[in-house]
Amino acid sequence: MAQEVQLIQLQPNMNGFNTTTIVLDPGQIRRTQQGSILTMKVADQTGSINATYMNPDFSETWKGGDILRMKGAYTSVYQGGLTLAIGRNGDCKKIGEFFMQFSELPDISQMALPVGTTVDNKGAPQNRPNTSMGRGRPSY
Amino acid sequence: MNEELAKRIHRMIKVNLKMENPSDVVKKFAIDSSQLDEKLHNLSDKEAIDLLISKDKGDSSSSGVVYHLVTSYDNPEKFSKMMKYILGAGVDYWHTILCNLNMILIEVWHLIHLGCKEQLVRLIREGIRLNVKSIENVLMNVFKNISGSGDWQTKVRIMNMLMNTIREHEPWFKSIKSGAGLMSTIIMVTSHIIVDTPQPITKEDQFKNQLIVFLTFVIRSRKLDCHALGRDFVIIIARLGRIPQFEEIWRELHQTPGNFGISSIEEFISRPNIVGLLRLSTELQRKIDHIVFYSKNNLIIYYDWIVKSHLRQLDSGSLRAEIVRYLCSMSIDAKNHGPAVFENRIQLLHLLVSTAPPGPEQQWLKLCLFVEWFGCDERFVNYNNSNVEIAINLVRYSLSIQAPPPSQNSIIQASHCSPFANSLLEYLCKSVDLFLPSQSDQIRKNVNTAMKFCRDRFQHGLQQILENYKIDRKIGDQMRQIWPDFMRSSQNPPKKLKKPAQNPPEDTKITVATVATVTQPQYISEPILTAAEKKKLAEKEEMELESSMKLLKGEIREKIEGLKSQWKEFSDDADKCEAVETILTHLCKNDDKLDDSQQEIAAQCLLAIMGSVVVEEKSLLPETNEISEAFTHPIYSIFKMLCFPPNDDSNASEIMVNLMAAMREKDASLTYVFLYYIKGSDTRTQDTIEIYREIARVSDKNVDEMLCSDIQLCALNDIRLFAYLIPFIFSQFQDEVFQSSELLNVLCANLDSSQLRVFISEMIREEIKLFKKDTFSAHILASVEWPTSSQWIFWHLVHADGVPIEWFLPIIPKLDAAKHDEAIANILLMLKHMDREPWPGLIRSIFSRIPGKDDNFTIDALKVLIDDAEQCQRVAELVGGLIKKLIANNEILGIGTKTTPNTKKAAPTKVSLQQLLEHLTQFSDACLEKKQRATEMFLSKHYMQEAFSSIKTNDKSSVLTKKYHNLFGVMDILAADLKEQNSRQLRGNRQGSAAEKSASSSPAKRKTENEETDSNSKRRKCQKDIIQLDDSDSD
Repeated sequence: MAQEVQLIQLQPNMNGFNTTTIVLDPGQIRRTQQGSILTMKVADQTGSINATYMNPDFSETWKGGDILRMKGAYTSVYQGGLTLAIGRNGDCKKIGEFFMQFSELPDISQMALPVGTTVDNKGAPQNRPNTSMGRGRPSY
Repeated sequence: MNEELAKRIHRMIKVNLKMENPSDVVKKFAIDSSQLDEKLHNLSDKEAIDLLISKDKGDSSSSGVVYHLVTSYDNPEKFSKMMKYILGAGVDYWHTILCNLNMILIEVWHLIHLGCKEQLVRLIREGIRLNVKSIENVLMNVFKNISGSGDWQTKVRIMNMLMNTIREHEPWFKSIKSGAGLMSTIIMVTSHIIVDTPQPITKEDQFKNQLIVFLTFVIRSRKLDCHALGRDFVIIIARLGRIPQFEEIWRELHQTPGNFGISSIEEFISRPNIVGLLRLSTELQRKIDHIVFYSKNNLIIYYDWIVKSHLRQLDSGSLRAEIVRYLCSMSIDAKNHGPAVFENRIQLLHLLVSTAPPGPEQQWLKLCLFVEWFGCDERFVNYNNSNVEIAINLVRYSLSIQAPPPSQNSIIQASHCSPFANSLLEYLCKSVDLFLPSQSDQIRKNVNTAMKFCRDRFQHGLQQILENYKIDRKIGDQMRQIWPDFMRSSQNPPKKLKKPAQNPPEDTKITVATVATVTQPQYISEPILTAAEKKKLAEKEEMELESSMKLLKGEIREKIEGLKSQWKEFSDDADKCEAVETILTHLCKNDDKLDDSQQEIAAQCLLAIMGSVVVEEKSLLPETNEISEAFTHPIYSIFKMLCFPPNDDSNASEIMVNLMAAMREKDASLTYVFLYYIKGSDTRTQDTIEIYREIARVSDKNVDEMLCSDIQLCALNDIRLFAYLIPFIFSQFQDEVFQSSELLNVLCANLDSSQLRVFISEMIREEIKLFKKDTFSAHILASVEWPTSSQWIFWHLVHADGVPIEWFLPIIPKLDAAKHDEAIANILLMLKHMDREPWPGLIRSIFSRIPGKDDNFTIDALKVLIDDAEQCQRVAELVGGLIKKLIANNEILGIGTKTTPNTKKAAPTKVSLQQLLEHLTQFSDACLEKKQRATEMFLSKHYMQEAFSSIKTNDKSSVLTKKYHNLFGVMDILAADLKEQNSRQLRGNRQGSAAEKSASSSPAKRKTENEETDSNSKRRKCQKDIIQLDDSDSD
């Protein structure tokens, strides 16, 4: 069973983890050559992060304040910032609304990445270890 | 999730199962219904009933039954069949059914379909018909849910069904036991639906009328239950008071209060609402609780979500009011919750009230905030359950917050800060005599009791709120009239005037709604402290001094005790000064330097022995003597030693600064008296100013912060001294003045007309300089939040300082036409009196404002600039040039686009050709065909005509010709007129000089007044050129 991870524990190249977040900015669905992508801003008690949901089966977005349960998530680096992503093998569903404490700061997508991070800007990381659970965000 | 279950869930709620997991409660009902169907398959009715009442299956089967009942909106047979089962199962089975109904009402009401809601009300109607026990509680929960989320139409339908249900069962309704929450909930909910329902457009629309008839029926048939609502009942009837049926109830309440089980209306107002927790739907109540207890720093985000989900329907005003009342009556246990929770409540209240639409809705919210004050009768209310400090806390909070710059898109605007605090206090002051005119004396007493509770709660902090410099003088005067015992008397007491006469027949009329429009109450000055209170205070200070002296150690303790015992024996100030100097010398020369805490205690003891130099209602500034002769109080010997430490020793200097900072902690007026000493003694001014800065540093304050506090306190205590010190302070603290908008705010809030004249005179003589370019924008943007009177004084100072118009360019696009009237009016006047030619930056800045229907700034600015014929040519050249430049840079489309693409809202807007044309369209709409015909002249200039031709010929910009066809049409007409005029002139010239002589009489050649002016100005320019040529020749 995948581990429950808090956003502050996220590192590049993590995958297959679960997390629970609240939607701060519902964002929008964009059509790209690779398919549709829902981008949004989510948060939990430890910080906020940009999130993407690849090829959702729906055309609407969630609303601000919706609480989302994400399963089989992974991290990727987009435009130099860490992003939480749900792909084909993942799942993301609303499980409630409003009643969750969160913190907007730190904005994890704005934080510096660890030195030597190899990234694939197009989407998922190139080498995803099976489990690479968070060791806490390093301070730079 | 299997398809069958999904189908059942969809019958109950609208949900996209790809995005959302349905609520556990809904899932339970769907699963139970499925299991029930399996069990009941092929069973006869009797067998089915037996199964339902069997103990092991009863609970889950009842939720299955309820599921079928609420989802049978398109299947009446199923509803009848399920009802048959319930009736067969007997009275006890109803209990489990009601439990399930309550679960739906409390947990998922906001999610279920309208059809399900209607079925649920039908089921309740059946329950009432059968007189089921406790059905009234379920009915109450339905009423409660109307004060929650959901669209207006749904609320109207449910309300209609509920009204009909009760009217159909009047005997049942009248027989419900007294004290149930149902009556109170009906009154609270129905009253706000009446207020929120729009007036009917057709005769057939009887909903509002039905609501009125229904509510009067409820109140009249259950009068004794109304007292549970306490003062809320009074304000509900007051709110509905314009409706004749409720005016009658109001009269009855006033004249025969016994009918409602109370002795007087005063008693009603003094009673709290004991069912206050029933005013909101459970969902909304939980959300409000979550915000108060757990929102931490995210309160604004949560509030935004509440607004989106609950406060966008027709009843948003009433819901806001219900939330305000809920928050005001909420009890928070200080033992279990930190101060952040109390502050969250205040912040939420602030958002709810300040962001409500101004006018009756906001006034109503203010009444909801202050009604506890009107009912704060010592006979009925006690300190612990009064909650009156919430309103004053809200005033404190509003005074303390700063609005972000106007360019940022924030919920908090400038009007939500100190102007809002002022409006709250003004509302309270004006309401005292008008809320219930016949009870105004009692209400006056009550608001004073409330203020006494606040003083007990805030201690010294109350004075800082009530006499804050951000509170308008006018409102301060009103407050002095209402709370004479809690505020210091004004320096310029207005005339004592009579109280407004009360008209007895008007007493029973409801005046709450007109509170906002009444005239200002009159001023009555009274002393602050009674003799007994003064004595008590002196005794308390004496005791504090004794206990402080005991904390001192060694020689210094002996010396201070000696000083105290001798103090009263000293015959004059000179002896006292000498004794104080001896102690100070000892403190400075002591080889074993005292530690900081001993220094602090010694300083405060010294101050307590000397007493304050500031005496109430007596200016420190002498009226006739030389100022230097006025420094006789022993405190000045401390200042003297501060400025001239023994042997100029740096160690002694440090000690003196520490002593002074410690004394200031006890008596904040000391530092302005020190400034007075610096100015009055007129020695080593620069060095002593540095000492003042050092005191600020040791006191852990910024210099500008300490100056603000000193100036404010001085203005309150000693207006003559204030007038004397202000020019000195603003000339000596130049750096702080340039940087601190707050310092300017204090200045502008306190200057009166004669002080302003003196101050401007100093500025003219170049003694004072208030503004510099790099900080000027910040001052302007801060000033727009101030009260109008302060802003006008500020603008006088701006003009006196001779600020050039160039400094305003960055601000022009940021000013809000609807809110920043003073700044906009003054900038327009400055443009009118501008003594230089327009230049490209100015034109670009004017056009960079985002066009808006109610924003006339750009139109007015252009009109001002083209009024002078000579300048008109230049403006046309600049605007034409800008158009060509925008085409060349391909800045064609878009309105209000930012200069940086990264969606930073604070980034300045970029001028595009479309935006410019939008402004010119508004300009031509508003300014054509005026007497001066300046607009026609401006648009006919060849620079403008050329620029418009370029728009038409450019491929990319030509799309705009269609959008702005009216403007292009005007340009074409003006071009044709011009051409015709030119050809006429040409023909006229060909007719020779003979014809030229008679030109003035020929209508074709008659020049308009403006053309005359134009040609004159050209002539002037030509002459100017000639003069310049002459000058060059002479060189």
